[in-house]
Amino acid sequence: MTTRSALWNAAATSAAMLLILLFVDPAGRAPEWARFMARQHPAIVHLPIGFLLFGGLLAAFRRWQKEDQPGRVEQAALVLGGWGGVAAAAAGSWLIQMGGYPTDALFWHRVLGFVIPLAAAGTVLANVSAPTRGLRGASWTLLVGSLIVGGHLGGEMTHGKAFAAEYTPGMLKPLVGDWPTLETRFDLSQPETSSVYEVIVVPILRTNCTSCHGEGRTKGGLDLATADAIAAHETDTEDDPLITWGDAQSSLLIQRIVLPIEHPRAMPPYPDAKPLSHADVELLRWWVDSGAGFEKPFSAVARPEAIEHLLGLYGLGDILTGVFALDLPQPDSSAIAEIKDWGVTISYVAADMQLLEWSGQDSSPLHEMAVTDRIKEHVVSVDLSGGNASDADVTRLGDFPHLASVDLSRTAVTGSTLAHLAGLEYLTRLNLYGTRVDDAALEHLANLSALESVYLWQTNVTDEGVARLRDALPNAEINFGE
Amino acid sequence: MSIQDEARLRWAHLQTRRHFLKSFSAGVGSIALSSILGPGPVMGASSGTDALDAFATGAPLGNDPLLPKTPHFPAKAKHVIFLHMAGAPSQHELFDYKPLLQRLDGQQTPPSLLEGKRFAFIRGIPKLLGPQATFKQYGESGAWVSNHLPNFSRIVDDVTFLKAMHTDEFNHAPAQLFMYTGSPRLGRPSLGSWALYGLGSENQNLPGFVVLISGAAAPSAGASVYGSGFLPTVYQGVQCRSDGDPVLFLSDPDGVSRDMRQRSIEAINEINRQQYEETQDPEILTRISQYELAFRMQMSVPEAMDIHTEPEAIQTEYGVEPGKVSFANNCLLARRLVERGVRFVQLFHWGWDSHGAGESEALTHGFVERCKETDQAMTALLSDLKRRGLLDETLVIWGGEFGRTPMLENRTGQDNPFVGRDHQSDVYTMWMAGAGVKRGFTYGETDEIGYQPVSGRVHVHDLQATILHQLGFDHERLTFPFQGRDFRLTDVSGRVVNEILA
Repeated sequence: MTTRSALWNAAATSAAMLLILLFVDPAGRAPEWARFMARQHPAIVHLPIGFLLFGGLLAAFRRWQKEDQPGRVEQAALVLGGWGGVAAAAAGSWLIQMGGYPTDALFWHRVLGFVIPLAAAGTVLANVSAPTRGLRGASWTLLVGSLIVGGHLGGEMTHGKAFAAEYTPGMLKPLVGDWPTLETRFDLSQPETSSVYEVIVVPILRTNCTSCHGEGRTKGGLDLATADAIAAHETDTEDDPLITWGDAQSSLLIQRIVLPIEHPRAMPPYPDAKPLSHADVELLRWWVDSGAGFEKPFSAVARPEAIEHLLGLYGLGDILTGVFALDLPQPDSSAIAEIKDWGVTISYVAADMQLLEWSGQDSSPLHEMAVTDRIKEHVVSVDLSGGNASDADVTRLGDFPHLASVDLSRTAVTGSTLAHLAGLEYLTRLNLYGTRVDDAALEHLANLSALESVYLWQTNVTDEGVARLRDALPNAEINFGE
Repeated sequence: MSIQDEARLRWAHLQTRRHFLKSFSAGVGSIALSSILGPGPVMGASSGTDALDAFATGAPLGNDPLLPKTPHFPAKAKHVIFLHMAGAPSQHELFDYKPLLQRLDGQQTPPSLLEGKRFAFIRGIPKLLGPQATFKQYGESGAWVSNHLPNFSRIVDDVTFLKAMHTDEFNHAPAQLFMYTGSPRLGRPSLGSWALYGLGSENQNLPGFVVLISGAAAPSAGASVYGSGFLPTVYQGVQCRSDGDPVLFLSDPDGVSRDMRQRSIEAINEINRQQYEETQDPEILTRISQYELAFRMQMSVPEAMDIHTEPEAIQTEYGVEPGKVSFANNCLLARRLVERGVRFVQLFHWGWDSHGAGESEALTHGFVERCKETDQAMTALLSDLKRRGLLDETLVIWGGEFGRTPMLENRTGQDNPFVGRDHQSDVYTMWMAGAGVKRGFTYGETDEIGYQPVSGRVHVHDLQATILHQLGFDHERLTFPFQGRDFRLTDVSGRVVNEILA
């Protein structure tokens, strides 16, 4: 290609772009045929991208081969790509007239859409006439850079912001500035020990507030970085306090984040920062309304249905406590099958939980150690009621570390071996009605502080024995059948 | 022609239209089977769906669809006892005390309260009717209970009252269907059937869903309120009687020994099995397991149903009337059945339709009789379950299909010595106890005359969702595919009433 034809190409491209710029008024109304063309913009636009990137690859290869002169294919790709860009720009300009695109991304997409055909024509020209390699390189860089940025902006407008980066592999995420996914945002694995403040509130404040209020900056004198700072905050007299526990409406923290975005005091300030999501507002509101403060553990705060639902949308299932929070491997299915063959009913407590319930009138399978030891970690409930259970069985039950419920009612158990249950940290329910348990046996229960209910109707225990047990276990309900 | 080609041609000649139809229908049958049975109620349960999987693939026959299954999450309730007061008892004479209604007794109802309202029987402008009972507060919870329930008032701290229940229906049969099947029309499975379908039965020798009926009549909606609808019929309620043969047609026919009975059932089931192999009709599996269950029940049901073996003191506590059909007998039976692992026990006690059109429906006569028939027994049932540790895992529910108006119903307009109330679907009272439900708690509130709800409304679908929740199910996931869509008890609504859960 000669310099002369490259000049003509550049002039024609410029003229075409000028025509588009002058004749397509962004605020106007596209004619019917143009509307059809406009909608083809996403299809048209990929053709020049392909040509130009192909040309770019050829140029890079040529540079690598230390070849200075551009080949004919490279120039042809640039010319075709440039004119494809003109067509895409025309279609895109009409598409803008039809409206519906976010303005800030659109502005730069449009600018780059105009830059690309001109840069392509410029590169054609530079390829044949530029005196230095540097100028040609700059021309190529401008072209490819505009392509990537402009293309990305276009993709964002079509598919939404996080579309491309959504499935970035974990190790690359910091590179694209990605936030943790919703599921990992709140860590509720320890609901009984971690506070609402630490698992819910801190992550929300960190994403929305602390870049200005905390972390070195305390705009408006507000520091939300630590619990102490929040608690110590003093508000101007005409305002409500930062937090009024139990009353979110009268808390400045909540008032500011629910103001309409155009309100001058709305936080975070729009358009420099995004408003809080509905879910975040509701979770903060719940934190304040519930009066949970900074210490109250998550599991101790009542969750209204809306909050449960929101947490559910975050991928957080039911909050499990006690024995249900145990994370165990799958139990040995061959052991289960064998125990079932001995007439015991073994059932799973719930789907996706590796916990088992044992019930059967014959207690002898408990002592088949070789088999039952394989599932003893998994058994949370043993029901031997109305069967042949004896004191030796009670001794054996002490080996099942996660038992939460033991039913020995209507058996010949005397309770002399109940001391063996002392190590069962989860044991909340013990049914001994209709057994030969007496006051002496009850002494063994005094240390089982997890117990919530004990059944002693129709046994040999006396009022005094029951009274002593009630003293030892003030939180347990002792049912004596009265 | 090679020998293989010849064999193939010969085989093709022998394939007749009948062969085609047979293999075709078996194919359709197995498609239908898997679409009827679907995946088990619980997806991905490691053991729970064994029975249904085997059922669906048809592989090891004789695997019982009633074997215990795994719920979605840990169940608080392993059993349910539903005490249905058929005919709809008046909340104004039992739990929903309104002093203002007493003061307004005999006054005409203001038109503003009647605008846009439709009643089953009331026409024109009715008079308000004050409570036909005296009320006192009981227990630490201070629940109001009328003088008609002297025994029950002792145990109010064990129950949660739902004071603002509401339903969509104001006639008995549709309202009862609505309460049990989630739809006012026929054809849906009942609550007990859903429970059994989801959880299976703990006792393979007794039906998993037992129905006990007392009072002068069966529920108006008939057996559909405990039917299995489109679920396999193995899940339907079995009506047991406390007098005579507990289950009709269960005992051996005259001149047939138990041994002969066993051999004939084995033969019948063998034929049924062969039929199943050919047609893959799931109802044949149901039939097989029902024959087998019936045979096992011949031994276990009379034992379970024999309330005379209970100690004298227990019989007195319930107020059992031996040899009669009574609510008290049924309450004691309910406890015995639950103790033996029966999943769902449904009681119906008829006679609460207190319109006041005659003595038996008068709030001052028939209604008081019904209270006497039930008060002692339902109190004994709760206390008995409690001291045995069974109330921890048994959900007890009491209530009617709807409530009654604060207005006097006078159908004829003439002088009537009896007082009664009309049907009321907007608000009525139920109570629940046990299995993770709060104790000594009242949810929901009505206005000053108990006519409209003020807060804490609970719809019938919400109640159903809550019952399923306590049984370990997400009511939105316990579904059954039928006629092209997944059906569930709560249809397209229902909210678990978390407020009443401990």
